[in-house]
Amino acid sequence: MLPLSIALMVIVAVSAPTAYYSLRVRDARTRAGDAVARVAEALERDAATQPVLWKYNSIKVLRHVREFQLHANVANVVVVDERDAPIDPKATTTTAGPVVWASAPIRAGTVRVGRAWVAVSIGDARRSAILLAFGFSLLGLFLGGLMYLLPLRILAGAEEELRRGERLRELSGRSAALAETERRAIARDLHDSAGQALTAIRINLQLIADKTDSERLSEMAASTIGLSDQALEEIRRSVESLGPAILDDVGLETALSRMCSDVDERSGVAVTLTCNMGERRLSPAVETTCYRIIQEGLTNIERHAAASEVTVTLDVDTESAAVTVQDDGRGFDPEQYRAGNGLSSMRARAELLGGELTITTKPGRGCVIHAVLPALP
Amino acid sequence: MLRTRTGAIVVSVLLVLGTLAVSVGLIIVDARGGVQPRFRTDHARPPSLKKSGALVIAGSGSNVPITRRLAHAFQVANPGVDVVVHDSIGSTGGVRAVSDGVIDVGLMSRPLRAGEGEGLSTARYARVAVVIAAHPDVPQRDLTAAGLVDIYSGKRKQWSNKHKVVVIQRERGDSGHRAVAAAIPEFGKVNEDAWRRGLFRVVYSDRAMEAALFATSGAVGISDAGVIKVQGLALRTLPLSGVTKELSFVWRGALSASAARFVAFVASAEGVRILREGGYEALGAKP
Repeated sequence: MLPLSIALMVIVAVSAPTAYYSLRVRDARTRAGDAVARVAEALERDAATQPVLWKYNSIKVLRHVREFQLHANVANVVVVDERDAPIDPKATTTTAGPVVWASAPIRAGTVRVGRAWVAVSIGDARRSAILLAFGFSLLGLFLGGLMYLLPLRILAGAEEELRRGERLRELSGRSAALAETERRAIARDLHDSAGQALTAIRINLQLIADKTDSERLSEMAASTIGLSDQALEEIRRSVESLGPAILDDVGLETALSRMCSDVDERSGVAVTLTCNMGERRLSPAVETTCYRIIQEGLTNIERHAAASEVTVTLDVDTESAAVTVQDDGRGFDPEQYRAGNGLSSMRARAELLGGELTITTKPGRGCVIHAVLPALP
Repeated sequence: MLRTRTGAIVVSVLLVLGTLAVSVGLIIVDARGGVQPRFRTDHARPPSLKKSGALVIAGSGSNVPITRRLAHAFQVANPGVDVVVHDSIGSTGGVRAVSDGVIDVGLMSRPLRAGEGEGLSTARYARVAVVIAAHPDVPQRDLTAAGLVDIYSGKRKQWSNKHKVVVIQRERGDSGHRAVAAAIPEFGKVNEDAWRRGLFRVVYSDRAMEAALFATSGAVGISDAGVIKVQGLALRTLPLSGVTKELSFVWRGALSASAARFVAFVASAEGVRILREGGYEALGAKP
């Protein structure tokens, strides 16, 4: 913005005074042309009737024309004969200040007997242009300063908004990460405490059912075992939705490997997994999101894609984790991709963690799901 | 291009350079002032109008009418001698033309100025009354000095017949106005003041003055009685008591034979008679 502001200052300061000066000079030239035409006309009348002697009368004629017929800015009037020698021996071309000259021939019939020259002063024009330059310089300074400072203010405001947005995103990411961590903890607690307790209850009930002679007791035990099985199934589903427990048990790489093998065996689609994690660990929220993205992607491929090959890639470095699920299936039209399904919610979760998720696909051209998440949100 | 800092700098520099180039170009072109005059410094004299056996005379317009009448009478008395009296080129023009050898004799209605007289000789041949000439409809019959000052100061704006007073002035330095200013100093001041302020119309020859006076109702101007009488101009004259001017011949070196004869004729009885008839006082034409 600073270079443009300076450019504006220079343009405003220079262009208007220059244009004004140029116009005034051209006006002076026009006036000089008019004046010299009047002088030549006045002298031609004498030249036509008094060959040779008209020159001796010309000084008086010139004086009269200059005093009464010419503009006040006429700085000099000189008449020369056919040899371009001044008729008035005292004539000079020197003038006080800058001038523009114009000339016109003096003819007696078709013969040129002399030439008149008129100088019009442009000193006023120069002085006015210089004053204008000062004034427009100040204007240019003001406009340039305005052009520089106004956008700065707007930019400062925009930067502040940007910072606030970044801060909010950061807080949202942390909040999402915390929530994910809590979900995993709750899932673990449910699995470890309530789940195990129910399993123990089931075992005891089974022992009671085996040991009792009472038919009624045996029926009650069987019924209670059924209830505990239902409760266990509910707990298992809750744990599963809160956070994949397998991540805590075996880690992300092994969990992904098992998932891909399951899909491979179940659907007949060749799934190739490439994990580049090294010894790096991701936060629980990022691990869960990566797991869920791949899980959702493979589920959609099994159901809709009719693919023969799938490539799953997980690249983790110090800054980010990049997940790619690519298939050679039938693809789909992204315009018809409706918000609200599994991948949309994964996209939202990825963005909440400060990452992004993109889907590249065309009908008949397979599909590529690519997500990049910060390693530490 | 403006999105990057470099792009913005490049665009700004181009804009500034372009503006400066156009501005400087305009100033340079205008400062040259278009065509510039180039004069020769050697002042060559114009070709002479003098012819063998002929006498060429030119100068003040005040002198021209009476001199033409004298010339005509001289030619009648001296057949074979041509005398050409040219239209007015002013007293100064006559002096310069004589100095340059372009004419034989110059006509002046004023004395020679300092610096003009080198190598020149003069002979006064007539004196004439300076008068106020007026359009025929001007009712005034005479004018006092005070009345003249009132007119030329702009105080008096109407004649007694309610016609507007219109003053026709001559250019600064005119012999008639000088003669009146010499006799009536107050007139000199108001005339100069009127000239400076541009109060009145100004003409620069006797012929122009005569034409303006004749064509403008209520007009007055300074002329001489001889010019009006010799040319039979239908103008009213208001005499100014004691205001006169003298007419002179001017020449360089020795007079030519025909010029000497003409000057002698003007001083002769016939010449004196013609002068008096024209309303002039003969002064003898002695160098």
